[in-house]
Amino acid sequence: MGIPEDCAKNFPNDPTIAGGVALLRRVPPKHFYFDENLGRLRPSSAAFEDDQDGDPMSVYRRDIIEAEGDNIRRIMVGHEGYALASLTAGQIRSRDQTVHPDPLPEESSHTQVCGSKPKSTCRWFAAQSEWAIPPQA
Amino acid sequence: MPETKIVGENEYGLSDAAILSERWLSATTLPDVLARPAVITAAVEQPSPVLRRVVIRKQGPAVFVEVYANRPMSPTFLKSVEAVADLLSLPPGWNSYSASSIDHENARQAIRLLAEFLKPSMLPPSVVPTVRGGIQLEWHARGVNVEIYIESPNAVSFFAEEAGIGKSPDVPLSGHERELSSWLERISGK
Repeated sequence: MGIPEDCAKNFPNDPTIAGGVALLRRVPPKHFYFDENLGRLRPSSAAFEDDQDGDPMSVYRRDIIEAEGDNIRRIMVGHEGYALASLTAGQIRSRDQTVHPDPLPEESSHTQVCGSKPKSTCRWFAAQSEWAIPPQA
Repeated sequence: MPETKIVGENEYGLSDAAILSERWLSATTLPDVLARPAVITAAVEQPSPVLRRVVIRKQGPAVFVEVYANRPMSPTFLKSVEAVADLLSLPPGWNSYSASSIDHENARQAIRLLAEFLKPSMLPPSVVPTVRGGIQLEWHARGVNVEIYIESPNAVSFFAEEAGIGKSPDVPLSGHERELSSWLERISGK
């Protein structure tokens, strides 16, 4: 499959982000449910699609938040009922995605994940992700 | 907060004109059929409904979903329709990023598929909105994973797998209806 040209050009991978760095994705309440096979709440594959506006999937770097002496709960402010899923940069790159820093004025850890995301990739992200902040019971 | 209401109607031999004339009556005088135990009880163990019509309309902040079928509708079906209807109140950006509202045509298609494939003995699916206004119907039970993707009324596909048995990779639903039914029967234990 490979990295799409527009991703390589506009959202190039930053190799200085180590493979073990945790990338956090907010998951809205409509995107998690109880999986009887796993015996736990899990995110849907729909939680790992690119944005509707054409922008790549947004995530947040845990290492930056913690290096700033803060808590990952800061990216949950104003998002009652959400959970926070975590994948490593290495996991994400293994599916032909770039990990591109995109700090925002309001959130320095903002990062974009660019690459083709067929359903199989979204399912894989959902299956591999772990909860950094699990859904509230 | 937008309001969504579902009206289920079981229609027996009424002409279209009669159905249409009843539609508004149903929406305004029977705001919550789901709350009427008699309706639910009567539907238990009935075969899947054959849909006559699905009407979705907005009236101010409220969204009304009206389902007309030629058989009583099972609690499982009604619960699933309620989950679909619930998605229609999602505002743009509902996922904290830039998701679209759910397309009414996709909701209508989801209800049609539920009527066709959801048997009364089955668990209701997880009904999941997608960022582009689509809907996913998902079952993860009895060791089986099934996901139906409704990206538009004419772009419906599904994926299914069972550990140690095999899987159906992403395939369009059209032409593979029996395959999907077979997977769903495994979830229902039949």
